[in-house]
Amino acid sequence: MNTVATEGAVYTPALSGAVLTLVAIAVMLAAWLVSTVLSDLLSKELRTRLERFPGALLSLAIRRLPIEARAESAEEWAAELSKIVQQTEGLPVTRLARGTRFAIGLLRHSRRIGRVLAPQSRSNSTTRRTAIGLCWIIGGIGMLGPGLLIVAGAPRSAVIGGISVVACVGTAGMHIWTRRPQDHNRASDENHS
Amino acid sequence: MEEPLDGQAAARVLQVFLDDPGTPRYGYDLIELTGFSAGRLYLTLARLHAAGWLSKEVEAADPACPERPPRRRYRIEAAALPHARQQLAALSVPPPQRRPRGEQLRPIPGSP
Repeated sequence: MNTVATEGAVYTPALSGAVLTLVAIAVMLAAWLVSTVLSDLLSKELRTRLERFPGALLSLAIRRLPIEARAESAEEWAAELSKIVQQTEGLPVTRLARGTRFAIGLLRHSRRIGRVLAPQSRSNSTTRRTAIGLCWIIGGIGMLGPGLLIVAGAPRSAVIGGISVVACVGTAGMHIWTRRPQDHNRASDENHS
Repeated sequence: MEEPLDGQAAARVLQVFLDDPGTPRYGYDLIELTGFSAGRLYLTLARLHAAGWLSKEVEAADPACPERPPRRRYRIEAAALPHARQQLAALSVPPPQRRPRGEQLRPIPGSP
């Protein structure tokens, strides 16, 4: 029998093989435990996110409404979504399907619903939307223009100066037009105080 | 009123109310009864409410489920009943020719 003596300890090949087997079993057990715990955590994470999915879609739909119509509609739609959840207790797939269908339907029509609920809303005005679109175009030209003109051979300083002005006008316009009415009111209140 | 009523959708929703005029209806129940998507149903409800056909009330909080926000229920206005029956009857008569585009239910006279 081969033996290896090192400073008082004696190892045999058979003993080291058994230790290796034990270590391998321990590693496999640990890996199995970690994978089980991880898959459980991932499953819980996924389940929670899926349960919240219809609510997130509903929030998106509410954000597409004019500000003055949001609170009432949010409460009304959330109550109906809660009813769907209550009716499908213990049926997670049905709950997800019905809740998502409900929320997607509202998301698709929320702009039109908003126009009925708040016909005078500033956020729905065509003029405002057109102005926002124009500002985006001007801002886009301001960002992409310099490269194109320099490639075309225009004097660099003139191009950069001109385009900077266009970009400033575009972004300032975007800021002004995309400000919400409550921001405007808040700014007025601050000025008065 | 900004947007015109979609005649077919409004007629279908009104028909549900006319089947039992005294019963208030919730949004999700109406979705199940009409088969409309939530968006189409709430758009129609908003238009009917704005035109004065329907009234909306907030349900008392459910003691069994206090965390749920109170639901809204809709009723057909008593004044709207004869108009609704009349206009639904008119819509159900097959027209001799193609019905003109944009045929709509009109708001109740005197409604806001």
